[in-house]
Amino acid sequence: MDLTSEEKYRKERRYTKLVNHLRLVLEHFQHKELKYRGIFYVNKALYFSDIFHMEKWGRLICDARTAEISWDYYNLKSGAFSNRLSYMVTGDIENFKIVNRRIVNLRACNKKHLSGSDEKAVIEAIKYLENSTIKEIVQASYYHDIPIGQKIDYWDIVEAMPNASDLIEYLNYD
Amino acid sequence: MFSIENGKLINYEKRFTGNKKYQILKYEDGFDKYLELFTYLNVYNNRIVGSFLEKNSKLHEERYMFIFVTPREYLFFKKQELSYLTLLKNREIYIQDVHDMYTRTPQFYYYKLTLEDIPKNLWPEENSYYTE
Repeated sequence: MDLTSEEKYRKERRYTKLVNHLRLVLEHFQHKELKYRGIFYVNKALYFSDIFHMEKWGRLICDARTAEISWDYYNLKSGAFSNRLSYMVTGDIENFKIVNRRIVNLRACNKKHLSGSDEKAVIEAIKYLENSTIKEIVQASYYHDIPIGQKIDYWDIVEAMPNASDLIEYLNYD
Repeated sequence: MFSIENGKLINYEKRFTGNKKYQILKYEDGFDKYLELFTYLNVYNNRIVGSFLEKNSKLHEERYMFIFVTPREYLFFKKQELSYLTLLKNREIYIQDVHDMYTRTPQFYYYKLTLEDIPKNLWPEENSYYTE
């Protein structure tokens, strides 16, 4: 399928945003314990920052909608897991690297691609991760209605929010 | 234009980054048209509600104010259960100054203010609701 120039631009812009989202998370974990740069904590930081942003402002940081983008979350035993993390860490050699099972950031975050609310959500998510145990984190990010290994739909994420009715009305409004 | 004494310059942009999804609610009649009350999604897809404040036609400068609204506030605003003035109270208001309005390279300056810093004659009316 041929993409129009606008669609190509949107796709590229979204990818740069995702890269900078991951970079920001890694920058915040830089001076903390080594365990936080492992796949589990980085992945959960991405997930919870998305969730907190959705709860307050009505959109995911990654802006993913059902069919538009393949960066989805999957329901694993350890909770929601984003496939974009494994894609970026293994595929994007210029930006990320794995050393001793820890993700290393090779470039600084360009904050122009992220809004102020995105940054606040990332900080909130990192605080949440620091103050809770692994069991709590897994329980909070696990979807009981969805079978293990299956994709978590955009609307599943929205419906799991405490203010779901407002969000559904808002997202269907325009 | 009123002076921004308490305002803090937070951002300065030379290039127009493109707020594409304008949803113009009301235009003033006449030759010089400007946005009176508007709502749109900005480049980061955050929801914004804003309005026109002042203009300096000699120097081609215009001033707008806008706020970021949550989904709940936006829904109430659209249903006309929440007026524009109540949205503006007790929160940070962003002031956007546009210089060199009609050139190829308009310049944008952003300040943060509260409603008390804005002269009262520029406040919206109490019953300023969304109308379509």
